[in-house]
Amino acid sequence: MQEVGAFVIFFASIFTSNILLTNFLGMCSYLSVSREIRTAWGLGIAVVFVMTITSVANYFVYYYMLVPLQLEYLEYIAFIIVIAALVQVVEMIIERTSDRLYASLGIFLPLITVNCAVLGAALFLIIRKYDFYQSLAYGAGSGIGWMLAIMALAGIRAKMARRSKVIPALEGPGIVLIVTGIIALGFIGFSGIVQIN
Amino acid sequence: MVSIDYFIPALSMASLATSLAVIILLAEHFLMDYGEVELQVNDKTFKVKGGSTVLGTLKQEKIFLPSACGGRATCAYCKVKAVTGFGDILPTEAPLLTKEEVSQNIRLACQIKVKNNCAVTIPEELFSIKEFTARLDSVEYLTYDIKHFKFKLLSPSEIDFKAGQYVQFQSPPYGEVSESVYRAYSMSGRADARDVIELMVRLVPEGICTTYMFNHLKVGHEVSLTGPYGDFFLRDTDRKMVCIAGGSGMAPIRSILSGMTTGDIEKRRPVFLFGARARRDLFLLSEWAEFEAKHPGFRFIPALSGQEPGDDWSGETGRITDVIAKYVPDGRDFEAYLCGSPGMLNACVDVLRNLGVNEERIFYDKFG
Amino acid sequence: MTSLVDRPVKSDPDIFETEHRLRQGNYMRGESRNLRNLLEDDLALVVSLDLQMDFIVTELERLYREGLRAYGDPIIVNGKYEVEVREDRGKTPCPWGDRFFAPKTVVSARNLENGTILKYSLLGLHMIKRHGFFQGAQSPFRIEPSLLKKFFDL
Repeated sequence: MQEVGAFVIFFASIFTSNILLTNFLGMCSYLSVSREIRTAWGLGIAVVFVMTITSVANYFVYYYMLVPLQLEYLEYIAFIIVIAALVQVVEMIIERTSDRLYASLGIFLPLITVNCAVLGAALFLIIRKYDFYQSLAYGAGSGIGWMLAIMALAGIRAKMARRSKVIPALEGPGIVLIVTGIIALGFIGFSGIVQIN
Repeated sequence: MVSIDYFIPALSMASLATSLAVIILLAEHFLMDYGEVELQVNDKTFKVKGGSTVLGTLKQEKIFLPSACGGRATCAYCKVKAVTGFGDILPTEAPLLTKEEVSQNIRLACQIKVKNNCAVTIPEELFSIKEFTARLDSVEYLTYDIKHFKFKLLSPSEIDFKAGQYVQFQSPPYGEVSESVYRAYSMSGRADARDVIELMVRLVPEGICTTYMFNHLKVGHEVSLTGPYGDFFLRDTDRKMVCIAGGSGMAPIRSILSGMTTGDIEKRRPVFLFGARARRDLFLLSEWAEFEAKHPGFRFIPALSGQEPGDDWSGETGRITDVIAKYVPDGRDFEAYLCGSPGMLNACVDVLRNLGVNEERIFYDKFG
Repeated sequence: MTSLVDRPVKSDPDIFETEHRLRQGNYMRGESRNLRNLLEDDLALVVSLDLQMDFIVTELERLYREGLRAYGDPIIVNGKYEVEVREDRGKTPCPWGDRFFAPKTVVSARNLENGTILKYSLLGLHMIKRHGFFQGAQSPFRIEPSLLKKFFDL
């Protein structure tokens, strides 16, 4: 058990231990759905939602089902099933509430299921032995951190599309990875504030 | 005896999966059920089940919007005017709509969904579009790559169309083709033969629908067609007429001309210029000769652009665009009806314009 | 080669959707390789044959434009190529989902000097130009890089 408060973990997972910029998880959708701020915002919200819920759900599944039954070795399968089911529910909610978001997310919504950041967050909170509140804070914080990163990138890309002349060899994913690296360097600046792990 | 311990992992995973499935089903029940909603189309109101696209919902109500891509937002035929009850333009539609259309609230019916009470406006003539089941009665080769299909309508048993309009033919999955496709073909028969649909189809290299029609469709088979569509039909004026076609483009022209009354033909003196490469690309010559004999005011002028050995041709030669001027002395008195390949069509429009034909009096099908 | 920028990255989920659409539309007929391998193999082939794709694409476009003037009849271009453009009505959406609509046009060209015959569709030309995709080995409109080399006497 770590001796840090849930509040600290929440901010640390957004800024200093950002799951995308420090662990580089969840890159596929980050690279492909970051052309427009509006879509990035939509996917970001979906990820926040899914990550928070799955972290809590996976916390319960792990400590109240797998541990008592000594089935810890099944954690990967159990987590994936939980994530897949919850993504389905989120998909239905989005389809009901926003046609525009549903159409622009398209294939990426089901792909949150295999978004490594979501599974990564669930596994980290087990490895780091967080308690319930810490898990909740970590899940929500990681989601918000991921959203922050993709929106920052989408903003930069939107501006780049209008202003910058990128050399052809770097167009697309190439320049995006470079930009991501610079954003990650920028986030190191936060590391004086809070620190976990 | 096997210990229960062996089953714990499987049982616990199964119960986890089951409980999640229950959650999904509950969510589906509460979230995906839109109940019955009211969809207003022009001045008619339908009570429909919510949740599907406007295109699909209207199809259930027997209103057939034109659609060639089957709802994948690629053909942009299924445009409707959204009056109330729909949100912002979707990213899937945006590339297919012009700024003007966006400002008029024109949307793609295959993308927007009926989720609550809503209203759309469609062109009034779409109400008369029906889905027909038809049986192939006869098929014959007109040239080596154009076939003439005659379908007998089964249900509904009659079609009400204007000569020159087209139908959408549904080609079912066959062989390696795994989905239905819809393709537009002009009707070539008389509009007053209401229980028959005639099509002239040219085999497209590797074309999904034409390959089906040429190699798989046999006399006696039943097919599905929707129609009639299109605003290519005879305008009711007294102007002289020039019709220009090539290949299977003869279809709508044949329908238009054969439906004109003797008096009209005397008055409007139509000329039909038909472009072909060689003798073997010409067809229905005797039918046109008969038509000419019956109506002295009408002339059928085939023109060959490249003769083959043994063609023995005494008619017009050269490209169809070179022949037009001879038969259209003063474009200002003329109305033009065109059908053919896009390249020929564009070239003919240019020539006609230069001859003084008012652009608003040049008619051709837009489905090319 | 102009097409490299548009090619999906390895982890891009789009590539699976694209491959599915390509297979459905018969653009990868009889192809056991997956889309990424096919693209890489063809690119390697182009490089090993030392083909300047920018030049080739421009030439193919020019042959089409010149051929179009004859409205379906054969026409001699540059005194060297006999070109026949066959147009049919209707448009095919590009299966790569870039909202490009190709007219159903097929260009048949023959090099009069060495007799090489090249047949390509406008959609096929677009897919080479924008996506570096030459179509599957047994696709009806596969444009074989080695044939291009022979056709243009490179």
